[in-house]
Amino acid sequence: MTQPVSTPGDSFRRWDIRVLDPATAIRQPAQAAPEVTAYRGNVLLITATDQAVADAVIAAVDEIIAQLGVRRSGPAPFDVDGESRERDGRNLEHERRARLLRAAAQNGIPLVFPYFLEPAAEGPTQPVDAWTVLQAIRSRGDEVLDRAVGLDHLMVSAAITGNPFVAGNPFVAGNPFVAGNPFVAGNPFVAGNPFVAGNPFVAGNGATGTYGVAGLGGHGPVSVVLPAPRPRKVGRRPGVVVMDTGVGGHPWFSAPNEKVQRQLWLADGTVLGTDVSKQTAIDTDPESAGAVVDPMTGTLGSHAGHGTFIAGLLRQTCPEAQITVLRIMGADGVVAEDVLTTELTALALHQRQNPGRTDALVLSLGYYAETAADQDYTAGLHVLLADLAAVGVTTFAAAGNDATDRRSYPAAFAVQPPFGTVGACGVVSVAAVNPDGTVAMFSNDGSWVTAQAPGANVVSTAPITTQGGLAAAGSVLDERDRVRSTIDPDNYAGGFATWSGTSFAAPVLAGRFLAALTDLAGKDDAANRAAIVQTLQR
Amino acid sequence: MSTQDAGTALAVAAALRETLQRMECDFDGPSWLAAQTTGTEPTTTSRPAPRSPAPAAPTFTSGIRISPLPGRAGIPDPWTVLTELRAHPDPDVARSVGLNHVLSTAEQVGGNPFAIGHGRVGLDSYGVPGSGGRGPLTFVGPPPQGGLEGKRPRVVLLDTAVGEHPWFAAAPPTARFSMSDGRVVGDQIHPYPREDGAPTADPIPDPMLGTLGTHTGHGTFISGLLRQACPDVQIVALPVMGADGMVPEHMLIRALDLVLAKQLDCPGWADAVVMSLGYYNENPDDVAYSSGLKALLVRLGRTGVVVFAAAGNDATDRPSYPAAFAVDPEFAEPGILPVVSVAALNPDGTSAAFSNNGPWVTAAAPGVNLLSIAPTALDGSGRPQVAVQDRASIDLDSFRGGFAAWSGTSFAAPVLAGRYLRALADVRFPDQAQLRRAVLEPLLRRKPLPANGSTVPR
Repeated sequence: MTQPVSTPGDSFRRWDIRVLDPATAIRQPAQAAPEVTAYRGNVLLITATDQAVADAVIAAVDEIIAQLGVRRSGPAPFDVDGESRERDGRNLEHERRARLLRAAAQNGIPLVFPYFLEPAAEGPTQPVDAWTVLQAIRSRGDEVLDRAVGLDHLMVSAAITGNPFVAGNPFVAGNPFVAGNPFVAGNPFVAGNPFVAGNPFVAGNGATGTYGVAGLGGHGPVSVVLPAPRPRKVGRRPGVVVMDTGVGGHPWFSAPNEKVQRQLWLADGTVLGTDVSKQTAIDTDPESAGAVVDPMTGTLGSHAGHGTFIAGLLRQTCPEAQITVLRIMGADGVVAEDVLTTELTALALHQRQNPGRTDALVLSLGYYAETAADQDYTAGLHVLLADLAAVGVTTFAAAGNDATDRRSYPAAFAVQPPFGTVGACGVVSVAAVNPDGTVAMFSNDGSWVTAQAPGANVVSTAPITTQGGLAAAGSVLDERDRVRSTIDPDNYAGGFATWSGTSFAAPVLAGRFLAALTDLAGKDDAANRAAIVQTLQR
Repeated sequence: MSTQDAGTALAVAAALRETLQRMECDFDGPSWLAAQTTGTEPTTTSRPAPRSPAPAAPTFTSGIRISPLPGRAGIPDPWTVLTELRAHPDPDVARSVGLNHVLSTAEQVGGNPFAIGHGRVGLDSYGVPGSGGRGPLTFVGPPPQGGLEGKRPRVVLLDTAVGEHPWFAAAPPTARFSMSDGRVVGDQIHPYPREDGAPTADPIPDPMLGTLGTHTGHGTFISGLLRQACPDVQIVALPVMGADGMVPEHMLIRALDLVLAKQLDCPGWADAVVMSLGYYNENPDDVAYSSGLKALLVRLGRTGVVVFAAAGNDATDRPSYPAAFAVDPEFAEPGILPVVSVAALNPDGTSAAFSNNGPWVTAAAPGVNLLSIAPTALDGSGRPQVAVQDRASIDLDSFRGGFAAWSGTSFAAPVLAGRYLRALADVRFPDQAQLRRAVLEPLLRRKPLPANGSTVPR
């Protein structure tokens, strides 16, 4: 559904997004003002080592929020046989997650799950705010509880979005944090502020804004006459999983060329990522039927084609790799942390059921945490990536595109224990470089960014079905009724595009890692993997 | 002047001298013509004299430099001379002289005075990076890998000199080749006037501004496209063109003469010639008159060479030569391979707005915002919009990463040539013109656009 231009759009509504405003956010006495971040208003994210701890945390939170006029909504997180048998979407989602959590508990995988909040009052009342609830929990001074409960952050994909409709987009024009804020409006270097830079609906600003323009790095069609990259014959093909917008139709990914997998299954039939065989999933596919997010103007989603582009970069850098692109985000490039942690749980199970199947994970997304001492409060994502590292999965995470040194997660885990130690290879954070090798102006950087790779005006694959409402500047029919025109700026029928972002630097580095792994021809033990990662770092 | 036999050449020389003397001037003939007047036969083996445009091949085609008689200043416009000669009573003489056209290349972004700044809607947009103009790209894939065993296809590229690039580190395109008698030829082909034989090619033609030539990297870009469309291709690149994209017709003919000589000397040596350049003739009779160029291409066509010529970028149906020879009946004769004139297609498969078109355009291929290679040394004086320490926005005229986007029928021609060469290799290089034609024919048909208005490349 398309929202009228005067109201916030789909993703705000879909996720009940709140933006933490440092000036007005409630806080503990003597606590510093938090940083800006975006989170789900009615969800907390809970992390526990096992089910006993999880039950204790749930009980403690139940008790605390009762005093705030708030209560837990929906079935208990681990309850698969609850009395509620309604087959609505939320319950299906709940049951899938509960089954995954139970399996995770049996396998010693950390338990990370959302805790849904709703007002306890019967009459009219203010909506719940997870930040307020979280402050009440933290005021108890219980360290275990502090670490176990956090916000459910909104993660934003790290592509530069050259969206020409930005000016008329309510997220920008109608958003007082942007339009009316002198710190933003008058300042070309607003990067680092997720009101603007972390918001996929705002295509960079000032110094970094040039990258939104086609030819300067922006998204646009390009002609490629290369044959599809051909794999060499190798003993074991390395596996890579991308969690992104999915993958669309392209000759590189259909016979006679190697397919890109769109789904993985656990032994019990559970699908990893969105079940792309479902009709609702087909209708909203950012790589196909759902690419146009605004049918009235034909506007392409800012991240339509994102996953296909990443798949093409992996194919180019390691033609031998088995590529799987799971769909976890929509064409707006926004995904909630709990959705990601649930899929990471599923991947951890998959890796245990298929040892050695996946060598690399590409996460071209991230969020900025609300407090400096953030690593304590980003436990869920952290422990799940650590668990994956322990079973042989190296994560390549985009550093982010906001020209800031503010830490973006999961990339910044690269320098935090257990990943930061020499020789460990769990998480690599990747900055983007320009065609001539200089660091791209938009790229995040800092001590927490451990690697860099090409990520500006990169050429890769686009779904051949992607076609937006923009028209060529001029177009006529010739004497044989063939179309003669200037370039249609958002028609990707030719199958190739240019684009920029650390989103694309991450898979390039992942592909180089996989290619090096392939060259080891079986001698790919942990020490050798760590050595490869070492050479790929700055 | 252009003749097929020595006798006519002598008649033309006599008529030319007689005409010019009435105008108080004379001409510097090519050495072989001077040799004719002293009774020596021209041969393909005689080494051309320095600074003298002379054919090394068995055609009698050359530029003629008109010079004033001693004590006189100035010369008549060659057009005036030509007009007189075309009224000559001997039709062979009238037919054997023509203007020495300046050919310009067919790509956008400056260079072509017919194309840029004409204010026609949409066309100038192709000069902007991102809308088709030359600009740097990032490409992370491997170099195209060939796998042919035995004979590999060979193409002669008449364009700017090819620069250095990792894709060609192992086997760079060559600008020289040897004849069976041991002579090494190719050095006489150069884009700039020069006195001492030393190469003068300079990628920065305007050192005081440091701007890149409008056509700097043109030949390298084309070589990359040939390699992409046919990874096994061997490229012979004769640098007839300067960084300004201009080619005098006599230099083009001199290069084609060499190719023809080699092809006669060593049958089956080359399979295709790519010419991303063209001129508009001065009157419709020009084909009947001019054409040294045409005669050469016909003879090349007999030796198994297909010529791929850019249709031009001026959104006109006025025939551009050599492309328009594609529909000349002489090339339709059995035993002669054709000239193919190539229009450019947009990324989505529609025709590029700038592309020439008309009954004389016989094929189309991708030619807009193409990915290909640029010399890694190429870095103009333009700077990134923003830069601080080692961080910068994109530097639009730095090609140190080695990859670029560009547009033009200049680039559609080599894409089609590469596809032809690959198909030719697939059927193991048949000798008969008829069989080669059968390989070419399917490439000349444009794929119909599917319902969504586009074609999908394989």
